[in-house]
Amino acid sequence: MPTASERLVWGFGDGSTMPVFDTPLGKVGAVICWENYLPLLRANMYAKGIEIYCAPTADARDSWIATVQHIAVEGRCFVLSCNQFNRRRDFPAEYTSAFGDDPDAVVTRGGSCIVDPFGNFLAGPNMEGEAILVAEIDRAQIVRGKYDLDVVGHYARPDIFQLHVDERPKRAVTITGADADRGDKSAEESSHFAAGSSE
Amino acid sequence: MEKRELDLGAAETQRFKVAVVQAASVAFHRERTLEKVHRLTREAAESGARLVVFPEAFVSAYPRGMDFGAVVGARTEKGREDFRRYWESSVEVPGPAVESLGTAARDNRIFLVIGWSSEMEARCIAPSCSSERTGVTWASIEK
Repeated sequence: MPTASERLVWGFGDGSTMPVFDTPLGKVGAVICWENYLPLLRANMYAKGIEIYCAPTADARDSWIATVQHIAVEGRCFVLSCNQFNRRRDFPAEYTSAFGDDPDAVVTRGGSCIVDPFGNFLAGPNMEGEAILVAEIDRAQIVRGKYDLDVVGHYARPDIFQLHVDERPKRAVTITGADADRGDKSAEESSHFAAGSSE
Repeated sequence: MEKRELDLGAAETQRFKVAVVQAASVAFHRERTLEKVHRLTREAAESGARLVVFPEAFVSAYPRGMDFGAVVGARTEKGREDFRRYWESSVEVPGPAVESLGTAARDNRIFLVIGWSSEMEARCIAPSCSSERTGVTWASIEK
């Protein structure tokens, strides 16, 4: 869900693009920038059992830091918030920028951080410059947190509030017919081939 | 790739290091940005991180401060050209840039979450989860 002027240059995803991946490190998903201000999307991610909640962002406001702390507590998950730190010189000189022409002007101040399921900062927020922030996480903290707060489990009120999610892909144009059928078949064959060759 | 997964002990999947990379894209230069992703991913992996997160639209730019020549009811020719150049530097999905990100993940044995702008429909933004587990496959979350 692009925000404001982002909509000039970016399009929209649909409900089929909100996966949470079951990895050996736990359930990993990502919610981008102000999508994190969509409470129903957050509920969807919690329902999928997200444990490592990645939040790639472009927001470095003080309020953003409060937001990711809130999400970590609300979802009882680890939040990995990541923003750029860049200056005007990191953009081509010929581009017209609202940030002027001073090469040292800070365009994005960062604020990246790693937050635990109780809202504690394990790393950051860093607003000093480019950096790789590293922290050790302990997934046992997730269940310890859900002991008293599980917003899609024992702390939910489905007798009053329910959320229904439509994850079907939405295409503007769907072509059916003999040619399309042949296309589907060849795609299936190549998919089998790829699966075979990876083993 | 599957054999590497077997190296993971239970303890290692309960407590482990993660990293967030706070850096600047080489804005509007896809290949140079990918080189930076490879370098920073290696640095993050060397610090012990098993999962590495990059910012939104890292490949190739979050075009902060640009207006793409648009006001209500009018667009400029320069704005159209700015958009074309942004589109040119974006990621084809699937394509070589996505393969490159998968290689960065595999070579460093980490899970990678990274934002890109995609050429798909001329306009899309998606972070990708690429990993040694999924090999060259990729998955995207479209904003």
